[in-house]
Amino acid sequence: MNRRYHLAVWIVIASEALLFAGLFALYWSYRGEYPAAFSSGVALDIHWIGGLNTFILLTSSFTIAWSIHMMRTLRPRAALWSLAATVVLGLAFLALKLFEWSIHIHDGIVPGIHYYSGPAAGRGISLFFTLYYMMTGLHALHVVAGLSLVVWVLVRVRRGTIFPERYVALELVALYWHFVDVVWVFLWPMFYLMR
Amino acid sequence: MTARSLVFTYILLVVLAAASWLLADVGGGTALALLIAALKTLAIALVFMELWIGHASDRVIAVVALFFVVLLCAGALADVVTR
Repeated sequence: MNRRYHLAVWIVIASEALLFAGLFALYWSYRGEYPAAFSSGVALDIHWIGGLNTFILLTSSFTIAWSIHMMRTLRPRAALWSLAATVVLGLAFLALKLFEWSIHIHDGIVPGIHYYSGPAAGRGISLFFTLYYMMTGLHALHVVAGLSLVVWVLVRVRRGTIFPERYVALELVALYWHFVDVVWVFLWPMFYLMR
Repeated sequence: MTARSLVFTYILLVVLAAASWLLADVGGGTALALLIAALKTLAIALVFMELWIGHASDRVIAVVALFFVVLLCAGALADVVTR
């Protein structure tokens, strides 16, 4: 029975990977066409936020994996605390992302007709920031969905309906959360590191 | 997965992320940044997502999905660079 659920979530993850693959393909083809503009775009992004968010998501992946380990070793209360840490880290990621977008908007890098008009302005930089908002926005939506699922599992662990003899829901939500982390592992160099 | 393997993987991920950040600051290349991202993904998939100890069917789905992601990106990029 549990095997079926795992297989289903892996199929969902594969479909989601192909959704992001379309955007990754767009990014790489436009980067190939406008390499200088994309380098300028990366230089305009706020690197400390991207870096900090990477460490936050990697840590949240560890805490949710740790919660499964705690459940397997018959320590549901410790699993609950690990899940709570995952929620806090996920919220911190979203808060930093919103803060970053607000800085961009304040600087005039706004989706639509008011794109960045600084020294690097042009079609390439406009494409870069279109992809930046689309891809980080889509990823943030996945973080929100994942976070909602983590909260749901946390509540169930607290109520005792997920317990050491039955915790498949926790495993499935953790799988999804790790996928969200993996997507960010690639978005980070693409939008913050590759100058 | 054991507690030791989880902690070791987390430390590895942090070290790789730090290396990626430092290398970008000293002008590290695109290929290196992507290679480090691929290594991090491998560690997360094998240990945190338990593909290492998981069922073969999960591994098949993961590998096929990865293949199509790479194919799609490589095809799009090849179109641009060979014009």
